[in-house]
Amino acid sequence: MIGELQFGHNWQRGNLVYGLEGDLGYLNLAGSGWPEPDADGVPYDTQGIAKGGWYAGLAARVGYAADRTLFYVKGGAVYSGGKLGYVDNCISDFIDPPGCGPSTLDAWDRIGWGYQIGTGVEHALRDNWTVKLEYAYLDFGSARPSAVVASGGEYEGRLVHVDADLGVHTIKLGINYKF
Amino acid sequence: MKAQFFASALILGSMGLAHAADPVVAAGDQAFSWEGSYIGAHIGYGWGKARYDDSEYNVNLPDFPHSASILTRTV
Repeated sequence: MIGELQFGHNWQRGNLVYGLEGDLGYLNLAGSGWPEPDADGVPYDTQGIAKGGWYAGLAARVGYAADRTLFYVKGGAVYSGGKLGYVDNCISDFIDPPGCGPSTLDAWDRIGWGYQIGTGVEHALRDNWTVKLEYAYLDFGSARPSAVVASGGEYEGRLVHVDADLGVHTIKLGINYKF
Repeated sequence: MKAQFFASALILGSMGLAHAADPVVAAGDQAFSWEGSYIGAHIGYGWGKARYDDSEYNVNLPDFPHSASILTRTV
């Protein structure tokens, strides 16, 4: 679920409408998964985890107004306070469970900055009230979870980094009050 | 992504053409004006992918690196 407040300003020249728009809300992302087993079919004991959080966006918007209906595209920057993690909390001897070694890892990084592009349609139900439907793609680029390997094993005490990319498709339904 | 950029460019391009071909709205016409400030709220749904690559984590190990692609969605 995404829930957000939105504010903006439009200018109009004939059928051309352009403006700036800001969003502030909650992008409650969740997901986790394991890498594929290795070439020998042995599973891996470290999983990727995504956790959502608050979110903010600022975009330029340009559209074509057919009287009370506006078709638009938008693009700009986004920031997410959510986190991407790479976590190994399985301690064993590689045999049982298979692939689970002695070391652990708890590496996290903020999702951080990205860009957004989107398109949508907005309709003025009344002179002051509009409803809109929008698709946007948020590309948060790369985060870099980092941590020191713990709990033993050959690499204990070594600082390691993992590259993590995140992209999110969104569909939003909104209502705006114009003043 | 390339396709989306292209689609956006196409929409923008055709918008410009349509705008150029449209007659200017005459003064006194009662057409709705979009000009002004607004505030509102949104609800929605999101889904995506996170891709992990641990080649630096597992450098020099024979069966590595691994990479993971995980599905994410809003809850």
